[in-house]
Amino acid sequence: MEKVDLIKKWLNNDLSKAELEAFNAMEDAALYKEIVAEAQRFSGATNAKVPSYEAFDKKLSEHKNTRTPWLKIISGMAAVLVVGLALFTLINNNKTTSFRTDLAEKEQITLPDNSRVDLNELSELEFNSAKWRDNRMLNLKGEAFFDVEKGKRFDVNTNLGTVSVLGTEFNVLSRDSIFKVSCYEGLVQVSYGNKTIKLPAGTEFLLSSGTGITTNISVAEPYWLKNMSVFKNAIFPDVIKELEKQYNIEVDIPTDISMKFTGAFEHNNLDNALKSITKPLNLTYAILENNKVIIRHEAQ
Amino acid sequence: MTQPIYKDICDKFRFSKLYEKYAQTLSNILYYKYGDLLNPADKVQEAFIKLWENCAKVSPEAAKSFLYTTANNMMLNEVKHQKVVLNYQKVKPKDYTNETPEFILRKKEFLKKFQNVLSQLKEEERTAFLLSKVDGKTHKEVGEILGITKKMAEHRIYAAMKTLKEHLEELKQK
Repeated sequence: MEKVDLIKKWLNNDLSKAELEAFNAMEDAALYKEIVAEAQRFSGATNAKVPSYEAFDKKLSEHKNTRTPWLKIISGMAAVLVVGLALFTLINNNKTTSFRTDLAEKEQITLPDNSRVDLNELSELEFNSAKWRDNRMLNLKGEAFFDVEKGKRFDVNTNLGTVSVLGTEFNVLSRDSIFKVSCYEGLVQVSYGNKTIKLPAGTEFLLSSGTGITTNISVAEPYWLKNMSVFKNAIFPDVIKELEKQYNIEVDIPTDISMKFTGAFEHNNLDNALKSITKPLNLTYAILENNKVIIRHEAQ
Repeated sequence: MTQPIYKDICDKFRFSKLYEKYAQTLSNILYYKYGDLLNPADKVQEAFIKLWENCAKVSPEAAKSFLYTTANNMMLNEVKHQKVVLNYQKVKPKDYTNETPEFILRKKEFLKKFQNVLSQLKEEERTAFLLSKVDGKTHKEVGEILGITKKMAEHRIYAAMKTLKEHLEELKQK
């Protein structure tokens, strides 16, 4: 039998007993056998094994879910967005914006709704910027002038009372035990203690020792906005106190001054301001180093 | 004329039988043909997933060829630039009884060479040879799987054996 046929038959496991003997007698029989034996190492059953049906079945059901992956992706993105937004507003809600002015310092603030606030020296203003559209409410210590845009209720809380408005211009002074509200435009509602009063344009409300007085305003805008301090029958030390604050100076005055002062001083020029205060009362002044000023009676 | 009892394979039990019957065989064929760089087992599973998605459209008789064609096409889409590499199970000392270091070393060399030659064989020869000698298919079965005659299968298997022998002769066991 031809060698080739023998090998082919062997390859098909088709040899008779005699033929098998002839094959085994061949010089290369061992090599052929080794090749077939070692070929088992290349078996697909080990090198390209497919998972069991149970394992595949899981994949199959997972695959079904991934047939509409867009929905998943979009909803996932939406979820992230929602959580992020919630977190953002949550964090933002607790965030209050606050302004503070120091001695001889003024600040002009524009609120989120374009309402304008002029904050006078030594004052503090605090409000929640995130909730502003829903709740126009701010806390004030000191003095501020408000030009309120039309809109929802606008509340200014102070230690002594609350001022509520609906689009107007008004001034609030709440310092130490003074609580003064001046309404320049529109209508303002002032609450203090259990009482509530309405303050029309051109009137001023002053709370002193528990009782409120409503008077007419003498100036069309708060004096400090015009860089002026205006006084009407004020005791002299009060005028000096204001002067000291505006110019950040120390003023030494004679202890025996009992005169009342009516008038104004400007904020931009100390010399002029001192003249305005001293001249009408027959006083003299001297500006020293270190922000010190001495006021004395004019020599007779 | 015999009517198939089921018109489709859309129930999990029948599908699972199909998987158990053909999945590994198909994976073997793909592996022998294209090597393991392209993950034949994954392609087979993808083909089965496709079959499941189209189960209503594929008759049980056509399922086998659907699977084969689908998996083969997936392979062909990727095969162009890939070199065929067939991996072998690494030699473990316990694989042989007389395990002298020289013997193990020769085996390792032998297998390395074997892998090389196998990878360089014509695809149809390699596939026929491994289907026959590793998966134990008869020449007739190999012919059926590859869509060729028994005689052609025999010829390819022999041709593969011849090439392997020629290249491995130098490493013949003394």
